[in-house]
Amino acid sequence: MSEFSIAKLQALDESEWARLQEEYFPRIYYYVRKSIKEHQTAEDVVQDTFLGAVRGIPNFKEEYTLDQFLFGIARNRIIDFFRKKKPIPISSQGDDGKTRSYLGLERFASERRSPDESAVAFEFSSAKREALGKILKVFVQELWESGEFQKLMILEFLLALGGRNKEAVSRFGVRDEKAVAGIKFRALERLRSLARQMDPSHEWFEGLWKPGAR
Amino acid sequence: MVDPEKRINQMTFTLGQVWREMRVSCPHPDILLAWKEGSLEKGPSSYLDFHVNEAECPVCQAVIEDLERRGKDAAEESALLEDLRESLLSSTRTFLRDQKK
Repeated sequence: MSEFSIAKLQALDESEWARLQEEYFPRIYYYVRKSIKEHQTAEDVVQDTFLGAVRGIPNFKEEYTLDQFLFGIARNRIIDFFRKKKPIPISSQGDDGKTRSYLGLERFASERRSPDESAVAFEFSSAKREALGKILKVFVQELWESGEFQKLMILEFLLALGGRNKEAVSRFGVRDEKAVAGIKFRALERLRSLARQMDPSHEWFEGLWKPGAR
Repeated sequence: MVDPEKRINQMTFTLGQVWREMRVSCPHPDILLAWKEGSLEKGPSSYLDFHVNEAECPVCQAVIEDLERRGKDAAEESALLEDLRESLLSSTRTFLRDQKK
C-alpha cells in the first residue's frame, strides 16, 4: 500500500491528491456499489466522497488512517443518499436477522437509531470514541494472536452486528444462551480492563471508577 | 443509579457503533488476498468467511474486488473505471483550485 503525505494533502497539492485518488477510487467505487447499484449514482457518490475529503482534510486526525477517513466519508454519503429516499417502513426491516450484516446496518443506519441510542452516541465524545476504537483493536488483535476465531466471530456478531444471544447459539453452534452470555461478559470485562490501562487519569471512562464498578 | 443491565446494553451499542465505524476487525489487504487464494489456515479462514461473506463487510468486499480487478484483465470494468477516473481527476482538480483561491 502506498504512503501519502498528509501535509501535502492538507496543502491541497494536486499531484498528491491525484495519487491518493488513483489508489483509492476503485475501492471506494466498489464499496459504494455494495449499497447503490445504479452506476451513475454510485459515481456521483464517489465524486462527493473525494470532494468531501478535500473539505475535511484540514481536520484530519493522525490517529485515523486515510482508509478510515475515506471510507468513513463514503459511508456517510451513502447514508445521506438513503435518507433522501423514501424511508423504509420499520415493519419491513423486521428483526429477522436480515440486517445482521454491515451492509444491512449501514443501509438502515438513518432509520434504526432510537432516541436512547442517540443519547448514548452523543454522550461519547470524539476522544472517547477514539480511545474505545483503540481498545477494541487491541482486543481483536489479542483474539487473532491467540487463535480465538470462533470467539471473535461470536463477539463481532453480538457487538458489531447487534445479534442476539439466542441467534448466536444456532448460528455458531454454541452450547446454550448462557454460554454466549458468558463469552460476552468476559469480553466486556477484558475491554474494561484495557480501558483502565488506557485511562489512568480516570477521565474518559469515569463510570468504571464508581463504587461497585467492575 | 443506572441499571447495570441497561448500562451493559448501552455500552454494547456504543461498542458496536465504534466497532463498525472504525473497522476494528477488518484485516490487512494482504490477509484478504491470502484468504481469497486459499492460503490461510482454517481458523482465520473461517473467520474471514464470516466477516466478508456472512457479515458482508462492504469495505473488505470492496478491497477484494479491487485486488481481483488488478490481478486480471477485465476490459469492460476497466473502461467503466477509466471514465470515473477521468471525471474524478477533473472534478477534484477544479475543486482544489477553487479551494485555494
